[in-house]
Amino acid sequence: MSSLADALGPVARDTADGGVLLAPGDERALANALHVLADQGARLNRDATLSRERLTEVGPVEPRSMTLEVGAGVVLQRLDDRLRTFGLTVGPLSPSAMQLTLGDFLEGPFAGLRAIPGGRLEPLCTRLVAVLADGRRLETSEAPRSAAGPDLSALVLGGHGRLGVVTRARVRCFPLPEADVRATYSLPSPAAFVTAFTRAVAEGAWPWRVHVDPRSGRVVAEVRLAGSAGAVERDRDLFGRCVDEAGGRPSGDAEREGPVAVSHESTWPAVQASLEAGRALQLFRLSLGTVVARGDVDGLRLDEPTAWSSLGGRLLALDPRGVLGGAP
Amino acid sequence: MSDALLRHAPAYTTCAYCPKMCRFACPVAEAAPSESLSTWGKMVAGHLVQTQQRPLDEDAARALHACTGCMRCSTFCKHENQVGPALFAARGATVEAGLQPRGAATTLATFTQSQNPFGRELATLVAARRALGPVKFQLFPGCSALVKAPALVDDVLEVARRFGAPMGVARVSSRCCGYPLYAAGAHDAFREHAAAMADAMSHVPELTVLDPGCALTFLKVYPAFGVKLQTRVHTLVEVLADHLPHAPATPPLDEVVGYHDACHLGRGLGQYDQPRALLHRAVRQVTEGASVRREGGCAGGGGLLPRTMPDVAVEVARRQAAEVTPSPDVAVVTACPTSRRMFERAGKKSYDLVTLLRRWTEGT
Amino acid sequence: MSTDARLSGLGSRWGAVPAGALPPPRAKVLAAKGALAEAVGGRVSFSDFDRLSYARDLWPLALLWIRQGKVPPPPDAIVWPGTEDEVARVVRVARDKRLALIPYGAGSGVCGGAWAIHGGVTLDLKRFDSIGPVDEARRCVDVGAGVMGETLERKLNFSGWTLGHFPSSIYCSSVGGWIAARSAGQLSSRYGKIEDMVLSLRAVLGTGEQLITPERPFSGPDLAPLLIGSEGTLCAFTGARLRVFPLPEGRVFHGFEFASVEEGLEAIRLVFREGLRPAVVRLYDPFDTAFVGKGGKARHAPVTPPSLRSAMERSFLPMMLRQVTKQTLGRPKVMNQLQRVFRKSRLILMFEGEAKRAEADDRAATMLCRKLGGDDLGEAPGRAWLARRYDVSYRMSRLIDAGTFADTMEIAAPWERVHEVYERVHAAASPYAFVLCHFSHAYADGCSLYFSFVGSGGDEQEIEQRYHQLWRAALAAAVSAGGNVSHHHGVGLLKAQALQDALGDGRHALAALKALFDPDGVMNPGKLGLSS
Ligand SMILES: Cc1cc2nc3c(=O)[nH]c(=O)nc-3n(C[C@H](O)[C@H](O)[C@H](O)COP(=O)(O)OP(=O)(O)OC[C@H]3O[C@@H](n4cnc5c(N)ncnc54)[C@H](O)[C@@H]3O)c2cc1C
Ligand code: SF4
Ligand code: SF4
Repeated sequence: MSSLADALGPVARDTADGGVLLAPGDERALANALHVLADQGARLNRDATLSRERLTEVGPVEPRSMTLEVGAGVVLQRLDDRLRTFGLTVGPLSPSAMQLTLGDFLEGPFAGLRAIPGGRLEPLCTRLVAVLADGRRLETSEAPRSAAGPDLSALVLGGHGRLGVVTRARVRCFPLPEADVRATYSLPSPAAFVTAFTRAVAEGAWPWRVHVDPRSGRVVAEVRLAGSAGAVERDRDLFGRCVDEAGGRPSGDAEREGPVAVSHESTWPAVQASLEAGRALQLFRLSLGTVVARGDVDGLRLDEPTAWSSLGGRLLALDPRGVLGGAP
Repeated sequence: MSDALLRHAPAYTTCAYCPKMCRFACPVAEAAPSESLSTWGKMVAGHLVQTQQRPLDEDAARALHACTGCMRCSTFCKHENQVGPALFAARGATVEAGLQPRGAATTLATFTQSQNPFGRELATLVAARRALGPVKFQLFPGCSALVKAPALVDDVLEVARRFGAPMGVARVSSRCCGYPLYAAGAHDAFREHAAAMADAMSHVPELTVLDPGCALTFLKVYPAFGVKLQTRVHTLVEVLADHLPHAPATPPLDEVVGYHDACHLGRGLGQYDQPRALLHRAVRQVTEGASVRREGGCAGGGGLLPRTMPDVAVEVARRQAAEVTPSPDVAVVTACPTSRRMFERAGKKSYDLVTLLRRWTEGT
Repeated sequence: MSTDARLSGLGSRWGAVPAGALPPPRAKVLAAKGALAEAVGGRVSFSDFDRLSYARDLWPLALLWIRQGKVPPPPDAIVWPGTEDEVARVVRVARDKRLALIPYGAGSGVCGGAWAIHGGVTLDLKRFDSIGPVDEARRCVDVGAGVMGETLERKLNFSGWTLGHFPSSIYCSSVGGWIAARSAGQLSSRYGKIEDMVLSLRAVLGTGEQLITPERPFSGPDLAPLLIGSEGTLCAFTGARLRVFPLPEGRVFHGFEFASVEEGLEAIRLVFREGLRPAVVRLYDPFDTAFVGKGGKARHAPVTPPSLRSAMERSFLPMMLRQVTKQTLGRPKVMNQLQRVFRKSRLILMFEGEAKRAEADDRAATMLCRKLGGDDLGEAPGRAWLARRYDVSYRMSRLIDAGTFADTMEIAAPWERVHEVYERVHAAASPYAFVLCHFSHAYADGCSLYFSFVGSGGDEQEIEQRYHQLWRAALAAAVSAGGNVSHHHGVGLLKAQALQDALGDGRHALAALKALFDPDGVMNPGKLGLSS
């Protein structure tokens, strides 16, 4: 056993490629491990890799708030499968997001964000529990919103685990859709598509996914709508009107597969530019500001951590020991 | 403590306990963004003086004078607090304490000497514009127009003639209405002046008043000081709007102008439609600001602000000009000589409504 | 130490000073006069009158003191910077001379956030008053932190847009203050809280650094949520890029009466579960429903001279109130028990936006409400509410003049806990004040509760004592029942200890942020429980 794994004790093990895997079972174990790493002059994310394989507990569902406590090691797709038995779902996340653990979804480039009706982004979780670089525990409030000081969950969300490591969180769910339909529209231009779809989203439509394909001068957009029968009906009507106003019309085109490509968080102008260049895209997490776009489009890569903005880097001073690995 | 302060005591107290609900509305506090100069801050000064919690000092006195009397705050006050009159009343205490801001003190001194705020002999200015023959309307231009914009008085006379409402400048116009005394806080002197003025006016059954500040003084301030006028007072825009059907059928000028509701004409006397009716006949397009009529902004000319805080007053005007016009090259039009002068001082192209009407009727 | 115990020192800790005899400015601040003046082009004041004007915000505790001729401790000086460089220069002076700096928006905060408890320099940001043109394609606008809310909203409306942010204090609060205290408007369920509207922030940190936070998408942690809500303890905001919306094309109102608060709450929960986003959702508790929430006619515009009604309100009503309050609010428990005879609870919904969508959403919500037994009251209550939606804020003057204390407490809880929080706070506050509550700002997973308290006592000392007892009891009950400390009023001094307690170990993270962004502790010391 390597000396680092040895020092870390039962929460760590050597890996085949000569590294050390740290798999704490709770916050205390993680905090202790961070102290050991610091004592050894070692760093997580460099000298040891975090595994949340032991952080997989799933608590009971609170049916009224549609929330439940979930270990950060639980893969979202599995969580979703389990939620179905309670008539709930984590909602319309992109396929790549669904393959992540809750921890990676919250800490990684997705920053734990989901879109809610009305086009706002909000974190998938209310309360989260994390261990910060100094080994202290951070536990945020489970109330839906707070004005009690800064939102400290921002130390975790999108922080690539470099400021704090999330161990569990209270996940907010949606009712399992009773209807799930697809509607296809043909629009005269990428600009018309963006106008119609941003308007519909701002007015409350809640598409789960959009496949958009610029072909022979027009743009064909197939939207998947899911929710209660009434909600789907209202959304379809709204899309119809917004498309109509933008000079489009319903189209009978059949469903198609989306491009299998890297996901980006992209702005609407970037989406439009990509469509204008004739590229088909698949869109998720449609919000007022940005979308998650699969295809050839400008934006922030969501499949791997990229260099932080300089301001984010300013926060690395919160880990003076550098125990969480410093800048990605 | 003076009766005036006591009369306004509930208003001061209400403001002192109020969550500043009219905070955004005060043009002075927008131009000079200090809490002390907000409606609330100024009324708190009144409260402290009235309740004798603090002796008046120079800064509180300055605050009491930092009000144009525009009454925009009152529009947003569910307590119907009459802030302008309450602050003007408290200015009395600044006079008593010898703490008037310089501009107010010099105005008072000038007025005491020459019975008007300009230190000019008004009688000669009036004589030059007295009607030669009989006229339908006696015009009271106000000393501001007589001294600072005599050409405007000529415009009035000409437009009135073309509207079939011939006017001549009334002899009584050689006296000031007394507003500067009121605004400076010299209330005993104002009462005396008003009584004398009412007496002098008693032989004039009907008077058409060009300056809304004078009209407001006659119609609202005199009665508040217990002075009754025998004379029926109308504003010029009222008379002209009445005679609009007799105006020449000239096509409107091909111009865009922004309209500013003068505070004393609008909020003070409730005359919003008359100037608009005139203006819409005279020009092709009229623009207005985001806040209009009862809620409209102020040009900074009232309450002696141009004399006590000249820079702030000009900044008030600059902001209001920007508010009512979509671009710098569009002129502001207003039916108030004082407001127009403020826009001019703020470097904004501006016309008095009457001047515009004259150009329209003359097709120039 | 429990919240209860820590709050007990609340009244005495920041002694009031007589309005007529302010302590002179501290020597070290006076010594910095030249440097401060240089930093802001001479826009600095040490005058007592200005110090008085900036001594308080709208924390109602100060009103109790005003009634006694006292004020909170004033700042030593006030500065009015107009550029970010000037703010940065002031920060440098403050760091150099170890002076407290208290950012000040419009002073409408209700928790003492702008009080100068350590003296120092109040940093009024209202000269940051620019409003840029609306970027129609990107639907945003650049706004200075000092812009007053109503001024901004009017300007936006004029060109066909809205921010959608309508706090009851919109007439008297600033954009910077909203961001600093995480404000929520009356239409937050559709448009979001202020943090949802911020695309990017401009700020000067306590280090003196100037920054602009990036807009999405970007990699790494988001600094904005760490600065939003910091109440001047980390930075001074100078501006923001805010999201705007086109003015709504249609509006639909609907009122319902439910047999109980529980049923009304259930209706709101189901409306949000269905994915509906009413712009307005307000459920009044039974007493509020029986009296206060009744939709009367909108009041007419003020008249000149004051109307008879106004004159009555000025002299007769306060006198009456003074008499009545002694008998009633002096014995709030009895009053609170009496209200238990009322059961019905009124809900107001308003949908707005694309006209057909608003109507469709209203129909869906109506079906849900009817299914839960809600009596359909039509559109009148909603319209009446809209017409009078800021009126309640004017009541403070009358209540204080009548010798009472009045305050509000806004908290939030997940749906499981909302009703229990309601009951527990009601019970805890009952001995000290008359209690009303409404529920607004709803979410799919929870809701905010907005309590109003009015109380009185035999004399000013007893009134103040009760006021503090009330807050201790109400906050402790809220937190122990599963509510949070604040949904949108912020923390300031009033809830500082409660926040620190609620944060648990997380308070170290807050302290670390403070040390990072304000290493010398000059920014608004003492607020959020962060010491200098
Ligand atoms: C009658 C009334 C009704 C209210 N209704 C609502 C409501 O409906 N919704 C709601 O959310 N709130 C409401 N409030 C509370 C208050 O209006 C908000 O907290 C508002 O956000 C404060 O803004 P302000 O500009 O007045 O800030 P201030 O009171 O000046 O300051 C509040 C805090 O923020 C800090 N601060 C202010 N400006 C800045 C800046 N530019 N940079 C850094 N820090 C700054 C101050 O130091 C202080 O700690 C109400 C208050 C009143 C009096
Ligand atoms: S005038 Fe009215 S709204 Fe303004 S501060 Fe006074 S009481 Fe409040
Ligand atoms: S009357 Fe006008 S200038 Fe005077 S306080 Fe009111 S709004 Fe300000």
